[in-house]
Amino acid sequence: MGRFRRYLLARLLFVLPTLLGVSLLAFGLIHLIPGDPARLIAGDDATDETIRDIQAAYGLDRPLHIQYLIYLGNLARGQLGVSIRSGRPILEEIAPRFLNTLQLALAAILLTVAAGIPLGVLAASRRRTALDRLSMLAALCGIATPVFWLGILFQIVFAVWLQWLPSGGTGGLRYLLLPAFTLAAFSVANVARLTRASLLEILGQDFIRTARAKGLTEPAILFGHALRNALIPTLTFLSLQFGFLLGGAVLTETVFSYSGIGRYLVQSIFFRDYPVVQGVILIIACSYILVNLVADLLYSWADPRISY
Amino acid sequence: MAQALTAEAVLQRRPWRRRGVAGLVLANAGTRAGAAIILAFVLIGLFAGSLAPYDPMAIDLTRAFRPPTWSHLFGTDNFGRDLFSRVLFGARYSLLTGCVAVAIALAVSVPLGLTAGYYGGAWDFLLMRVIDILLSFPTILLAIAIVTIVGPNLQNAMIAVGVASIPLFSRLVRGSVLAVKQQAYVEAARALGERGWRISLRHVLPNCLAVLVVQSSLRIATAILTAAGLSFLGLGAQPPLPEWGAMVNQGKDFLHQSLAMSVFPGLAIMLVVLGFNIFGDGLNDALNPQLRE
Repeated sequence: MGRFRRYLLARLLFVLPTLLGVSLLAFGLIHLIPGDPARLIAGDDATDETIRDIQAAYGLDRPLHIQYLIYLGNLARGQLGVSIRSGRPILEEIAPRFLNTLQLALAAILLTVAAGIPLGVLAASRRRTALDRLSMLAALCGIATPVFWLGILFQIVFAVWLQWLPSGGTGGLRYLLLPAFTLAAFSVANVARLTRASLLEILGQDFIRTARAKGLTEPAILFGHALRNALIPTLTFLSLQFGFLLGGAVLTETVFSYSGIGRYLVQSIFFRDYPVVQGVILIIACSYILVNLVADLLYSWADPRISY
Repeated sequence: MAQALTAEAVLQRRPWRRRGVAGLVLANAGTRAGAAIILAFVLIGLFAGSLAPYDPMAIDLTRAFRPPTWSHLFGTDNFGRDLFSRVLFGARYSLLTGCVAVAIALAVSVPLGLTAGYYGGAWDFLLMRVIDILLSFPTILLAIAIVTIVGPNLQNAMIAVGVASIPLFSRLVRGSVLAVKQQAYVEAARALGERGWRISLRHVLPNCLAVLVVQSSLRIATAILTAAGLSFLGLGAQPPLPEWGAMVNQGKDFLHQSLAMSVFPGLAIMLVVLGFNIFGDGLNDALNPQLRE
């Protein structure tokens, strides 16, 4: 475990500068938007007094690098600022929405694993049959389909025609189903293609020929030997995809009026609630980094062939 | 054997010289189907003016929400505008967005990736750390951040999607430069005493072209999807421009009156993206025969 611990340490050390870079970008956002930062933070309706308070609190009259240090200090104390629209601390606004998005992303990952891997295995084991071609064509279409359009198609079928599920909103499982299927479609298609490709590659290797030669049945070869090895690239994709789903839920959440951080981000842009925009972008990037870190560590722990 | 070959002979063997452009475009079923779809959309975009039966912007409220008929193939929208004509004109914006975005990404990423991959060292290290930071943002998020700064319209969306693709592209270019650098013909060029920048431009870059062309095709597809997504959110093309993403956005409020308003523009996005994806995949197979199962 000594080598693993060293890898863990190196990986953690590497995350710090990345997080700093992300915070620098989020900080820069307010300063890159044309206009007076104090007014952007305070909102269009703010009085001169409020603006003076903001200037003092954020040190906006001081040099940029000092402002950045003040910003970092606030971040360290968990202060992301105050929403212009609601007047409440941004962290309080983000937290419940973040949990909703997390729920949506987790549901989508579950669907991806439950549908994508079996589809890929099925296609690979029935290689060059109509079933293989059909599922790969479906996967190609899945990758090409705009996620917001797929969401609307689901609304048309399941909410307008069949009236089985609500067309939007946030609540229990009923509200989660359509957005989760919509969000998952792209990754299901990708995982199916990836699983098929890596399974076919593994099935052509020497140890599979050995397994065949010693008389193992095809299912035993497929599930006992090939699949375990073939799933490694799929798992890498999934870990990357999870972070992507956290941020990429912007479109799905907007279609289904689902109260997550993605929709909150878009609404805040239209409301010119820039402190919130800054906060949400920071939170999404940080969770993306952390998810990838955890996935990396799990991955190197699970697969001893990965060099630390 | 390698020893028997002169350095000049090795240089002649560069893989990209073997097949012409036409040979590659028609290489397999994938490239042919993809090229056909792309060509169809290019033609539609070019000749939308003569193909469209109606003015895509002409409002006629007495004709609102007509279902698809022979006189209005896709029906009409909430303003009575002919959806078929609007979808035809939409091809222009979609193709232009994909190509401009990828051109921006290439123009910045190729010099960055080439120098980082070929020369390595501190520049490579620094660049890769910056790219790691930028890759902590999902592409669409980066594009949204850029649009927030520069303001929402079609041009800015193209630029935002292009800039947002730079990190990924740079890493890709660097990766393939690193692979090509190990090849015998690069060593041969070095043995013949060519200078570093000459080798990187004359020998390394042309041999990365295959990867670049495949990736460009696939990234055009992604760029079209991302830009349409921005327009759908209201952060890209603005109404009344007949851009497909913006049209789906308008249609989503009228699901009970007209399905055509959101169904047809979305279908068009899917088809054109499918075309670029199939073409890219097919090209990849043609250029890397050993990967083909």
